[in-house]
Amino acid sequence: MEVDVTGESRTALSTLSVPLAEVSSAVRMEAEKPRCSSTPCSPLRRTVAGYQILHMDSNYLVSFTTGKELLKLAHKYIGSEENKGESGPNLGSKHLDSGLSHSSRLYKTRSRYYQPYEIPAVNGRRRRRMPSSGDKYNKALPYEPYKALHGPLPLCLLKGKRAHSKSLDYLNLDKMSIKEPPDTEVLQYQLQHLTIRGDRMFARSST
Amino acid sequence: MDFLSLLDYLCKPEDNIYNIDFTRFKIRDLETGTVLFEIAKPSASGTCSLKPKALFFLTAVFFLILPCRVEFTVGEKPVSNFRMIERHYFRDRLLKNFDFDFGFCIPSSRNTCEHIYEFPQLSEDLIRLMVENPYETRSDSFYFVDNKLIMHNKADYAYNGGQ
Repeated sequence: MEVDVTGESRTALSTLSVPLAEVSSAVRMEAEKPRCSSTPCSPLRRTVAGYQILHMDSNYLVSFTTGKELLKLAHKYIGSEENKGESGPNLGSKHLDSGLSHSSRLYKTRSRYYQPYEIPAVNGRRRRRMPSSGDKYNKALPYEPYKALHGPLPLCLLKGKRAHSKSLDYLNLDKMSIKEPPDTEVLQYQLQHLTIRGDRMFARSST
Repeated sequence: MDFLSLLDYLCKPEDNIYNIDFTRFKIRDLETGTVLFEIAKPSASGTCSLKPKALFFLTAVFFLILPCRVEFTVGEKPVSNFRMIERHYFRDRLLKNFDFDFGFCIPSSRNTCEHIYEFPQLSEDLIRLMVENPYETRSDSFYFVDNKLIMHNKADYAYNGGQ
């Protein structure tokens, strides 16, 4: 079945299925590595929304969080700002630090510098990086818990408004009527048939 | 504040009657094998009932091919035709639609599956817009079992490194 804009078929996958009981102990051991006598301290892992961040390459991903965590920080910020009688979208690092200290442990990693990725050959399709104006984003960044959140939070979070007023518009489901009630079963039915309609649309545009 | 309003999602948490729980997620660089990002849920943490909307603060390094390995557990019911449709947008423009089949999963199992995300070549103008407009690149992930929607996850992306 053609499913994407270029008409490429779905990637065939095989799923490895193992009974839970056989791997639960192995997973526990892997998730919590024992302290090693040769290292001064155990690796500290940051927890976000119940997930442990095991690895994060700062040359690619600076930070990761969830809406739940940001909402907690926003509530704390708004609460403290209301007490001060001020308002504004920007969060100071002090507030973020206090919020983050409650919700997560610090995740420390050593900074490493990677050579910027090469622009691929003429027919290469593996990687691509920003032009020289974007070089500043490709350097190694020491991880600081508040830094990724230092900028203004999404307006939809702080002002209590969704960035997109209608979930159907956000999904770009242009063939669906936005006046229809958001009935789960109706939406599920239409969503299930979306791919088929999309395939026909792509087929028409490619001829 | 309704940032996590139910109306943003096309199904409810309780629609996941198969108790499918994603416990590990790993992205790596296909060429070097370097692990770019990996998270895992401790086995004793239980199922998160609140839908988390993920936010990724990325640098402006765009990969065209990204292998993604995901691990998930299944409850007591067998899962047939487990399928994920994921759509990535910049503003209202669809960047890419992904469609992956997990297949059949036996009850009370832990499963591992790797998908290969192949992203389209984006124009430099579009990349620049994506970098200059954090959180306006978004994705929806829809999970189906036997063609019935059981889960809906969302993510926002900021390509300015969160700065």
